[in-house]
Amino acid sequence: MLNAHPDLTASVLVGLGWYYLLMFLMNAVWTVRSYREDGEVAGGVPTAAVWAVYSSILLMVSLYHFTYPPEGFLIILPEAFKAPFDRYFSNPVLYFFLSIVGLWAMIALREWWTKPKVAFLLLNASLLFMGLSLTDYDFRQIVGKPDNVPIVAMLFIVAFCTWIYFRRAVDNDRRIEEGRPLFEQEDNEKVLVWPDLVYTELICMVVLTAVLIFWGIALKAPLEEPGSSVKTPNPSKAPWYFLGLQEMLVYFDPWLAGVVLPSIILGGLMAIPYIDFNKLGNGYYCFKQRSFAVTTFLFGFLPLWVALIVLGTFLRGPNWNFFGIYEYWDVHKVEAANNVNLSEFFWNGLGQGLPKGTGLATILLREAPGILLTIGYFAVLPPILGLTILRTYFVRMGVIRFLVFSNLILWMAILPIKMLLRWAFSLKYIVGIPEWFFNI
Amino acid sequence: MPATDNFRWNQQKLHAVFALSSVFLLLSVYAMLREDQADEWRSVQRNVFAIDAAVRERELKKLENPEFVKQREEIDQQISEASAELEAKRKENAELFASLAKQEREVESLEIDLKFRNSNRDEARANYDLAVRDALPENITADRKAEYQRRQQLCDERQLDLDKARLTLEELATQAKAITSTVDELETARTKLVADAERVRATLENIAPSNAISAFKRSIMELPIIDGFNSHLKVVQDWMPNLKITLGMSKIARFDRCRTCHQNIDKTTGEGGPAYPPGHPETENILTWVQQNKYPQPYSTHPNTDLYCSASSPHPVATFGCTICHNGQGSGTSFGNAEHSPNDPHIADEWHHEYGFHPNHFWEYPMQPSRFIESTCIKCHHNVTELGVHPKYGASAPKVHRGDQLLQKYGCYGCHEIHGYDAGVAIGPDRRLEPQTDAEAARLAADPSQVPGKLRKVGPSLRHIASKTSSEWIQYWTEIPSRYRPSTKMPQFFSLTDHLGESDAAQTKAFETAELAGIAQVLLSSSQPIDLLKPKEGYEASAERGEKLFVERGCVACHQHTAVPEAKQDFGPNISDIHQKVRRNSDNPAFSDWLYTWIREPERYHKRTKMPNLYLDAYTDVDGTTQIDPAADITAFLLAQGEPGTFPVGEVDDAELNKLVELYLKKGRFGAEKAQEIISSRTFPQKRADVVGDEAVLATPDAAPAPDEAAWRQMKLEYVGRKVVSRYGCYACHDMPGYEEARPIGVALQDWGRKDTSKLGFEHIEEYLHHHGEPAGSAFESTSERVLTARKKAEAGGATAGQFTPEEEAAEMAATYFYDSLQRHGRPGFIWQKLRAPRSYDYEKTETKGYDERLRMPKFPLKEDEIEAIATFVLGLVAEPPAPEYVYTPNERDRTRIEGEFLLAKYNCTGCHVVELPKITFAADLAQIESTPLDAGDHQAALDLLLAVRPPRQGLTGATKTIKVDDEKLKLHIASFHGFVATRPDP
Repeated sequence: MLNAHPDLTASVLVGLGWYYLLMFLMNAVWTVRSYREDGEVAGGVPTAAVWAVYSSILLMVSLYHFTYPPEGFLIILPEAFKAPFDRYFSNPVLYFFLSIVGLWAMIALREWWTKPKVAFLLLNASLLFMGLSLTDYDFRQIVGKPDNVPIVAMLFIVAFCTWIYFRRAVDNDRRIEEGRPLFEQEDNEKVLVWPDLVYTELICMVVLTAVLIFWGIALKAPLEEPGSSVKTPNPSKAPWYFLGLQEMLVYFDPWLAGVVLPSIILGGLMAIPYIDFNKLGNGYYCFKQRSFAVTTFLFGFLPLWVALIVLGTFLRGPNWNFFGIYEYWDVHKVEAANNVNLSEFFWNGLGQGLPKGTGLATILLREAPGILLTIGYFAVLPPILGLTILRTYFVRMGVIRFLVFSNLILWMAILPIKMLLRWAFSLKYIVGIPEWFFNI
Repeated sequence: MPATDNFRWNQQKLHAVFALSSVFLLLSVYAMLREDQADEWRSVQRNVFAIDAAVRERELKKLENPEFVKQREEIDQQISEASAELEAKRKENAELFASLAKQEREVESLEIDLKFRNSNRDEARANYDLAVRDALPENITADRKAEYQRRQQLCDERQLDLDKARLTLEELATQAKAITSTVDELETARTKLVADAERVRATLENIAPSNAISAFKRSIMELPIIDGFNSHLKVVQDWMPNLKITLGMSKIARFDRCRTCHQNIDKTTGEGGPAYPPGHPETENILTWVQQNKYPQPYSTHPNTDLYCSASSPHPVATFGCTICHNGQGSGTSFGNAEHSPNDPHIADEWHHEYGFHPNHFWEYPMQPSRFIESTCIKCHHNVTELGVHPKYGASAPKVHRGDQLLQKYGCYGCHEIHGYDAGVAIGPDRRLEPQTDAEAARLAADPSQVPGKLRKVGPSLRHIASKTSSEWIQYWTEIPSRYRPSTKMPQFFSLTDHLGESDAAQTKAFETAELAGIAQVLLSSSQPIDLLKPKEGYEASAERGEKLFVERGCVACHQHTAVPEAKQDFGPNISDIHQKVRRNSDNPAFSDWLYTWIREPERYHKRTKMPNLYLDAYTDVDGTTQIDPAADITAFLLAQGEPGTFPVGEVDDAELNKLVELYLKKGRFGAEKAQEIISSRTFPQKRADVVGDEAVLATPDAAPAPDEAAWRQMKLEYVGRKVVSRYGCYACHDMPGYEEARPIGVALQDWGRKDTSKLGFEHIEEYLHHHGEPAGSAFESTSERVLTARKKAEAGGATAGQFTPEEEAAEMAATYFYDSLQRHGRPGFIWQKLRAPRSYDYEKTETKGYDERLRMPKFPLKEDEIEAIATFVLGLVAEPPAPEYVYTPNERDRTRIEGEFLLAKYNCTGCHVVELPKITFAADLAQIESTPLDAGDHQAALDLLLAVRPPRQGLTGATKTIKVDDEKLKLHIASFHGFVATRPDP
């Protein structure tokens, strides 16, 4: 019987052959650069020699892909790697935790990873990881879906833009420390509108149009089943750029995840210029002078937005279950998920059972712990913060600005807080009043 | 810092980059247009034109044969000779021709002038009419009228001139014609001669122009963008606004673009057959196709243009489109997008290589593979009967008809209702049980939105079963019916343990023994008494006479019996074994009053039996003294076949029985402890009158304990028996007291053909078929191995390469199809395995579900081709009838015929009566058939009349066949007629 889900096929090998060929070309260029700029490894051997060896291995790998049949092909991700990877690294808790650790490492190790050589090594590592992973059928199904290609591209683009920022910031931080002029002052980028700006823009426009057309020809827009209200696709996914929001639906009711939180995100982004009192860092890259602002933004953007998009796109499968990147999207997979409201914890903890009834007073009594907690969180916490750890901010911002600022921070924090509560205590709702469709 | 005048980028380089990027953009546009023009259908249409051109050329060659050419040359010769003569005459009569030409010009100029005057007159008339309408002052009206009259006058004058001039012209023309007539006639004759050929040539010229300019113009029309302006390469679509298709939630008009590629699908020859007969030519060369007159898809015509596609058929393509029957995606214009469906996975592989085919599970209506092509007929043909029997079209859809017949034979509708009406509107075939009680019948009759079912239960009544047979036989029979009667249609509910592990099978066996005893207990305890008939006191039944009567009185029209080997009918059961099971009279073991009653008056025992009352009343023989009671004699004959049978029955283990009782009591909302207490104390905690449900049989009238262990055991058996009867729905086929109002237990099937496949319980079937799935004694370990072997053989060339016999190939490739469908979680695969081994879907599921939650469907004695026929029918049940004008509504005459055919089949009338004379076909040497052996004598007129009414040789079909007679090959003519064969013809 033919295997309906083969890890390797002839066309996959040809595709990967091209992939490695491109990697070879990329590294060949790098080798030339290294020959010109890098020194020696040891004993008269230039660093470029190492790159040359690596590049030639890539070329051979590429040729191997072009010339050998799928049967008995050797360069394939072994099951011994895939199975443990899926088993131990495939759950949203670890994923989220790793994304936070990644953010921390990005900031802590910024001096190291912004070096071009390190960055190029990291790029090579990620490309090799992807190339090897593409030999897995299930990985290919998810990553290779025409819908998802932009998201793969986005991963590299976000990484590149973040790298650019950190590289410039690290450079400027060092300049400030050493009392040298900033990079932006030294290298004035002011140019003529014509021809330097408009002409290059025109060229970009032309090239981008052509790229989009070729993309459209190569990867046809996928057409799925006709829409039906009685049979929805499983999983039903929002457009990729909304998958971060959709991921929030796992933890919050639609009115919060779909209405309140997005509005606060938009409002909060608009409010930033008015909250910001730090006059440093205007018009140039820096980290040290704006470390709080940058860290907060990156926390909101990378783990809470981009990472959730990646999670929603690649790792959420049928029934919105979490799947490892090499795991088959099995509709029959069941994950035990039974969540409990805070009120149940509280009243059952007291040994009394939930107050029964649908009257206003009963409901409010039942949910009193959650309501009090929520009010406490948004009303009591800001003054306490302002008087203690955020005292300097409070003093420099004034009451109104500080309250807006602290509330925005608290709103941003409720997502990770709710995630942690869900994972640690299977907490469903802090305030759960399904009678009024009001759940927090 | 202000901007400098230096450019940041080198301008020369920028220009170069810009030039390169522009070329890149141009390439992308070219690639886009090229991709757009690469549609499969364009190349198909080019081939269609090539075929058309080749056919025209062939036609032209045929028309322009040497004789034709000779004729044409002769005429041309004559014309040139006559023209030369004419030229001379023209010179002689130069004056006449000159004045003719002058007169022609004169008439023309007068005509033009008249036109101007007429339009002036019309203007004046309109002005006058406007004046009248607007009630203008009288003087203006009068002026306008005068103006009109003046202009009319001018017209009249000119008309007069023209008439005169025409008269003159006519005179001159007549004179001239007399001179030119020879040439004129010759030219007319030539035109007539070449008309057909010229017509063909014109069409050919249109498709394949011979001159360079036309060819260039034609190629220009194929270019991108220009091809939007009525190019010859274009999408052809049939639009059926009323024949809607349901997509997702809404019904929308159907667009079928199938004819974009299948352009010849409805083209017929002058005689009515397909113009491009379908076939599988061996080469890819179009000229060979034309030469062999065999065309592959998509270039061929529909194989049955009498019934489909052609304008004169009942299903013209312009009205019905294609997808209403074939399904598929009508709007698709590529092989893949049209959702073609392969008939088996081997074909799928071939398609994959040829067209990049892959099944698209997103489209809800993939094309019917050819094995299910008849499924869709029943969307409109709700009676089904006309698809199997039709005076004009014969059996147009025999497979779906057979499926329906099988479904009725095995009584599938007893459990699986097929409701053909939705709020009184017909939505498909209606196969339901008739109302079982008078009250239900009355309720349905009173409700105009309800249509009662019409079918009877297929099994015999069990209402009076105690009078018929014994408890042992009931248990023995029910366990494995085919063990007692191999040809039975009763399915097997018990001892289906192939899918179970050893210990599970043993436990199941123990439970089933108790259940079988329980069923017997329920049947016998609820059996109602019946007054059995008896032969006249002292009547001596004769088995010998009985055998004769058995044959003569029509029993063998439905039944088979080993004592009468000639009997081949299988409408009723094979009753060779009936002597073993029937209850015999206690006073006379050689006779059975029950059997006597059944034969004499079947409806006394079973009101709705199909067995007819043959009026086997006692009578006095022709000798005037011998009393004959045919029913008694037949009874004696049947019983004389042997001794009553003994039927081994398993011993019920009390512990197992208790386990079962406990299981069901727990379902009846008793706790485990309470249930055990009930069992051990022999006491049900309620009075019988207060208990609703099967538990009532465990209760006593006063809630006291059961009197003794034996009575309690009986009560427990009956309790378990009732649970089993309800679980297996025995009442679906049998009339049983107490179960008259019980509902069918199976899934309704009226829309099963579009049931969401995610709602089908495939469970571990793939795993099962991977290791098991083939009956004991099969050549294969598992279905998976069987399918693998078949696919290997198909890859090695199949039947044509001698890997299979053609029958084997059909059967084995069907198995690969269904297996593949199962793997893809398709409906066909599901129903196939469900009918092959219904309980196999419980494979490794029994461990995690209760004994009473196991699958209930029994195993029917069906062969795989029968399963396919049933699947064809069931997959066609989609409950999506097209607009009423498309649904087949026979006229009164046809309707009664169809109902009649249905009844004939239902009661097997044709077992005894000849309704249609058999068709006799034979080959004969025409020379040996004399025109007529009749001698006219004095009755010439009568003979003439006879020969006119029944002309000799009218039976000839026109076909001939070469037949070997005495080692000599003879080409004989085939004749065919309806009639009986009195003697077998000498070969």
